Amino acid sequence: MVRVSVTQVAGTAQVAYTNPTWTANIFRMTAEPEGVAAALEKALGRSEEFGSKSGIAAKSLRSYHYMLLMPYFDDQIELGSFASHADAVAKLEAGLAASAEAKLIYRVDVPGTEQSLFGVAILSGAGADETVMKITDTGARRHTAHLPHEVLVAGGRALMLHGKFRIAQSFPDLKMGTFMKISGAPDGIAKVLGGC
Amino acid sequence: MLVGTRGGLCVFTSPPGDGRKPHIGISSFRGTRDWSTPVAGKVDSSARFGPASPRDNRREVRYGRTWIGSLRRLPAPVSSLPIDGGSRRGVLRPYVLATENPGVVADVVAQTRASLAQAGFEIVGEYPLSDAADVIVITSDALRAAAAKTPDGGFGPWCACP
Repeated sequence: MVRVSVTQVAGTAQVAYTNPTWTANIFRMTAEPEGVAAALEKALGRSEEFGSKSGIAAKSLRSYHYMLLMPYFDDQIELGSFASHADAVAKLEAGLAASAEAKLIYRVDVPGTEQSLFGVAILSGAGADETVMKITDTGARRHTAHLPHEVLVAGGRALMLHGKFRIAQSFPDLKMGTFMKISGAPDGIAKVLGGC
Repeated sequence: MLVGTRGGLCVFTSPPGDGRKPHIGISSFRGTRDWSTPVAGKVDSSARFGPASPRDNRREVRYGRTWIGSLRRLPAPVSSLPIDGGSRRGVLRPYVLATENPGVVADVVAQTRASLAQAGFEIVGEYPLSDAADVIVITSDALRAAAAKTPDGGFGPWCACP
């Protein structure tokens, strides 16, 4: 899954997308999606990578954490546990449909597995997308493709990446002072997703 | 399994075959667990910590949110070698800027949608944040296949969940 963003910045429209090689490493995939980077470049173009001034080595990404005390990729939060994958998917879909704080953007099922990935917009609370982006996404190159957040239903479990990890991997150059301004966001996101 | 001690630090590994990464714990830290199989003449750690079960992972998750947890990681296992994707200078960044041209978001979104569809990508969702920002979420057979190749690859593999 790749997120492609279009953002108006000072009279120009920036088209950007999540770097599939970054994603493959930060989510500890065993293989990079074959031909996807080349296909994206052919379809949309490729001007430059951005989002981290000095960049991060692939090897370091596989054990990435923003700093001490911050979570890793595998410090995930279990939002709920259900009798089966089908039960978990049905409950989550119903919860999202009824929620005024979250909105379902997409669902992708991973073939041959009991895994479904849901993309969810956070509409209110301390972790609201609009609130977080206003504070964090202020650079010349916009990180709009950070959104939406994900919930993974794996078997009967509904999981989310820790909010601190999810935000940090999208904004690795974020200063601690800025992070403190959104200190309520990770819990806010978990609260909204957990309520679905 | 306890594999060594130095200056108060003990290096533990997970039990063979359970798919967990090696990790570091401090011997005096309450809750660090000797993963070794109980042997005659040796105290069965399960007597102290309860029977080994998936619940034991919870203790590890808590460590992940402490500074001790930040020390517990050793390099990723061989099964998850880094993917450099032919990156220049060996470093990666989270986003790729495709183009930056004058235009209105709505028009550029329509063009982008068409280009993605023509390239064979499946648009699975769209998130219009505002009049000035829009996110199109895409997938493809190659992306699904890559997720399926990795155990629990919806995000990627994990070794400890609460």
